[in-house]
Amino acid sequence: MRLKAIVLGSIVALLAAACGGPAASPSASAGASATASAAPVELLVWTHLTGPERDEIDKVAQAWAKSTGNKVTVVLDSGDFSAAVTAIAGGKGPDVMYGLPHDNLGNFQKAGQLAAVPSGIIDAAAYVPQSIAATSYDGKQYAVPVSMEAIGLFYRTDKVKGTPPTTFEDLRTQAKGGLGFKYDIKNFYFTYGFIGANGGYVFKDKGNGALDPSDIGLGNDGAKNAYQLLQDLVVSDKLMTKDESGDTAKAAFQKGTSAFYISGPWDVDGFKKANVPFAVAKIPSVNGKAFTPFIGVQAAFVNSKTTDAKQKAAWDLIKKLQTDLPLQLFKVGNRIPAQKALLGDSTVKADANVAAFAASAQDGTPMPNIAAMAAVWGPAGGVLDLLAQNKITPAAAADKVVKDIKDGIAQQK
Amino acid sequence: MDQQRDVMRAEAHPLGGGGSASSRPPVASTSAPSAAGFRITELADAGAAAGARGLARFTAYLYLTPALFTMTLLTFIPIALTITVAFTDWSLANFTDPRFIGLQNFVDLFTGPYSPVFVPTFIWNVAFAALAALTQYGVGLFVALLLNNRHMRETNFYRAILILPMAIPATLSIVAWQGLLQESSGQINNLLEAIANAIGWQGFERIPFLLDDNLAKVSIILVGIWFGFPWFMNMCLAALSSIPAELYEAAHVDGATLFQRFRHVTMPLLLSFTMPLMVASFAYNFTNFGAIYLLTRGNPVRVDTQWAGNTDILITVAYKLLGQPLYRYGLASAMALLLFVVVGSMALAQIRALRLVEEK
Repeated sequence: MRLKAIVLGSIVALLAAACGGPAASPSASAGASATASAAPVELLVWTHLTGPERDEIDKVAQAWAKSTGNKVTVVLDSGDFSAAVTAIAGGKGPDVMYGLPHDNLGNFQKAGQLAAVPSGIIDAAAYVPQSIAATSYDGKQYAVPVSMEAIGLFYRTDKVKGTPPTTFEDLRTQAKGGLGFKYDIKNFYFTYGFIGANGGYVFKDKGNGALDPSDIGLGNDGAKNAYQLLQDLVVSDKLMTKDESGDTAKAAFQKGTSAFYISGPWDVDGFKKANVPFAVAKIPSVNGKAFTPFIGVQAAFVNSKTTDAKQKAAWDLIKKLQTDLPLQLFKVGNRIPAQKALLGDSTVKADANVAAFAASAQDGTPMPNIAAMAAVWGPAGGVLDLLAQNKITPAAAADKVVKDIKDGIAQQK
Repeated sequence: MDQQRDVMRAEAHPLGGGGSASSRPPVASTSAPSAAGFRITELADAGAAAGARGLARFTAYLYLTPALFTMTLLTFIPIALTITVAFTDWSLANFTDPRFIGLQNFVDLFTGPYSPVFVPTFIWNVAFAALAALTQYGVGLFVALLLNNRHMRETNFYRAILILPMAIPATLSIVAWQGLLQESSGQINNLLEAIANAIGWQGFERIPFLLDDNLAKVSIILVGIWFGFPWFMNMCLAALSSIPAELYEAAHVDGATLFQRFRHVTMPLLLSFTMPLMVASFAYNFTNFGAIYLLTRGNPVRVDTQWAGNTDILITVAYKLLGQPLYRYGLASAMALLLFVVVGSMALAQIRALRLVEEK
């Protein structure tokens, strides 16, 4: 099934690369001339991408503004997402939100602030399927995937002999044999892959990325097995401490006291600067099942509360950004493009680390994008903490997390 | 002295605008300034009609405007808003159309999923505030007594060093303490382990300062002492230096021992001066958000509820209701209002009790 999907996907990607790519620019300029004839508008773009990435966005946006006669201001938004929701509700929000982590879309969607993506802006088939699921609600597209990220297995090339382990059982044996394995185990974001591999899930996918918040899969037998495994890693294997954090795990990997570490692309630059001899591999399978990391998608959406003229121009801008920007974001920010055609680009392929993250992402699940997800992080992190400290049994943890999440969703009024 | 004060009174008088201004030079030059100062107000009262008095009142309010404006903006409006919001279902989801729901938020706080939250949190909250005030006062007093030694030349040097915890921004040093107290990476445990190794103690286990339910509470109190004692030390030193030396001399002549002097001279005088500070410290610590949240975030996690941790106090619970995942401003405001009533009545009761003590 999955193989077929990949083959099909790559054929579509090839087709998109062959004709979709070049064809996109004339149509974009056609759209541009259409808006240019209308009265020029002034667009406000908020972005969560910082530093050089923000500069790249600004470059493309200003080029678009010049060719269409519109005005664009790109502003860095480093505020809380709830602040952006209230800003839009109060009429002070941006016209375009660019590079927002997709799991935050839920609050905007709940407040009715996401404009549906008009047809012709993106070709869903040309994108990695999880990125499309991450940005749609009930099968309808409400945002555009820009790039994506997933976690991978970092290993020390000076400690790990030969190729990195491909099964978690092998990794565990090697780690217990003295190599060490540490990661931010109490953080649900990093740990979810173990739960998913064992058959657990957060919310049931009814197909088309439509999630059912009443069907929580963090208390099923698969999830219990995963909780047992996680507790064993800390309590009996003593690979990690009961107060393990991302910082302590990272420091241990950097020092070499642990040869394996699970994290995302954001740690690559730091290790390179510290001259750590490392490489990234796909995260090994657990019990013969693929590790299913959460996929985070940087998404762009148009504010549905803004004027029609602005919305029209905003979609035109997004279309332009989708064509010109993702490869630049890869170069300056290590972002994995969400467009299949760009994944096959030679510069992307040449980066072995990104290829490993992309390989991990292939088995990944998009982080649930509905507002109910906000009620998951606290309880899930809480039981992982209790498990690591051996204050709760896996069975009790399974019951507690489901009950807490249900309570939380019921209280999200 | 008297002359100066009266001139100042004349100048500060808002009536200065009219005829009284011309009568000011003679005031300063008269040999009986207090009588002259009195005459100004008399003159002004006699000369000006009720309208002028209205003007005077108006001018007075004009002077108060900046203070009233900022107080309205920063105190009265937020309080009024909090009270209003506490009776609505305002949240992120219905940001634009909140409805009044009466006492529902208060009912919610004590029923349903929140029912395990209030009582344990409240008990720990009272214990924390009381213990923090008492221990900080105790340590501050002890250090002050040590420093209040006439024969110690380095008093000011020690005092300068001991005041340092107050000089460092609390947010920074609490985060530093959080790092120091970690079980597997904290320097305090590293030090203890090194000592244990040096003396050859095999049974040493690293101490879960912030992970154990009870130790986390002890850690909070200990870190609180570190922050709080310098202030009490200073206050006690000031109070100690204000106790007349004759009292000690008299006690000495009467043959009182060192302890008797402390018990019957120092303590009573010190207490009358510092008791109000204790009450203030209790009220301050009752809502001391930073001391809890920055050190433990309210953790260790409680098994029976997700809405509060083992070291959460009411104010940190209210804060948690405000943010992810609930964003329920109404509920959080109800909690804050409840907290206001609790702190207010406790402070009132303590002040009443203190007055009784003073009347004796």
